[in-house]
Amino acid sequence: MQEHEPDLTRLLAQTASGNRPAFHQLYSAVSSKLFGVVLRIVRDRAIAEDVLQDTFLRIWRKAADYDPKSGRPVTWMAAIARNAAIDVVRQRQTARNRFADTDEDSLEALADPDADAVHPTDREALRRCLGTLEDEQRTVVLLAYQDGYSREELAERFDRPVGTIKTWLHRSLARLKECLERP
Amino acid sequence: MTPEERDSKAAEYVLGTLPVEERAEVEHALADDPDLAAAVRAWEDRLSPLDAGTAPVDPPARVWLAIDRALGAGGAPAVRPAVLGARSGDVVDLTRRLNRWRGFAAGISALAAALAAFVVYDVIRPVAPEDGRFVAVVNSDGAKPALIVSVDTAAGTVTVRSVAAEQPADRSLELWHIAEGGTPVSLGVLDPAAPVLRIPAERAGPSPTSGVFAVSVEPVGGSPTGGPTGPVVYSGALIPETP
Repeated sequence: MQEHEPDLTRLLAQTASGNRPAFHQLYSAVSSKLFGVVLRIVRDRAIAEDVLQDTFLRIWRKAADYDPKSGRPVTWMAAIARNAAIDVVRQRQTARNRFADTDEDSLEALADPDADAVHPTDREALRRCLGTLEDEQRTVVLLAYQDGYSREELAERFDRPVGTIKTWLHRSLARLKECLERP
Repeated sequence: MTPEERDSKAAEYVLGTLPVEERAEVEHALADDPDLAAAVRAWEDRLSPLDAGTAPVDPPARVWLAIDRALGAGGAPAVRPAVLGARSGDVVDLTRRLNRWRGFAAGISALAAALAAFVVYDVIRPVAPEDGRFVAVVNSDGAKPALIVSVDTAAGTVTVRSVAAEQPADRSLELWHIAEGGTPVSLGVLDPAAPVLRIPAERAGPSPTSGVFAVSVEPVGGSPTGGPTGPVVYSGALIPETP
């Protein structure tokens, strides 16, 4: 699991110097994960394919900016994918086809050691800290992060004013941070 | 912005719940605000384990094919008019500029080739054209050459000699190679302090020995889009050193 890390770092470095075969290997290694993340947010396969394409073109262009000291390569790439997906759904401003909401298994998946190449300690800490939040306040964080809900969409879903959602988000995020930073 | 405000903004940026304008502000500020960038990275780290809660989905093969095509034959990414996340006005403008620029590049290449015949006269050495050296004189409207670009296919290098390229203040000059029918591939930003620049030929793609070289005016450090965004100030076609 953790031995994938140097691989991705090396592939990103090679990509930065214009190495196309390395870039293809990088694509093979992470495209399924990124496509899953993007598809869940944009909820439309054709748009998700465009976003994935755009994501990898951005990765190609920005590979030289990646600094291994500032974070894990997969986190860096997933952030590019999520940002591209969020930008697209915010620009479209249309109600998305909500065919599936965050399932209750999200926290369970976090407990699954094979779920992903995320450091188990980080995963366990986040799971524990999310568990300290009240149900609704945990759900707003998960729906926003995993499903790309905006404040307005969350307000509609919970039948609360946008201001209340904003307060929930701030409180949840502050508590998460505090919990994660506790030794 | 207090550290608390900054952190809260970074958190909601990563979460994706900032209103569109605030999101754009953060995006814009990231490049110049290392504290904000660090706060964003920290939040990406904190929340990224949540990605494990989303099942991977294999994308169809056409996505990679499209990426491969968009990158063109060469090294740097091509201009993609449908850049997601760009405002539509920018996209139209960029496309128009690119088309205008292509016309300009095509028009000037004949002139540059004619000029090149004079410039390379002294350096001719008999080498086989398919495995040899090619040269382009990159100039502006028949004025004196600004750059001389030589491609040595045997050594696998592209050498750029700056003769009289005029560097505008607060801007960078970026060199592009455009294969025939292809999209511009960046060969890098010209360094006014370095009269000779050597570039591995693979960065210009498999056929750096055909097509056109051009120089555009870009923001300091080079084009932010991967394709030319500013006016083309110099342009020239490549010809074999030996006739």
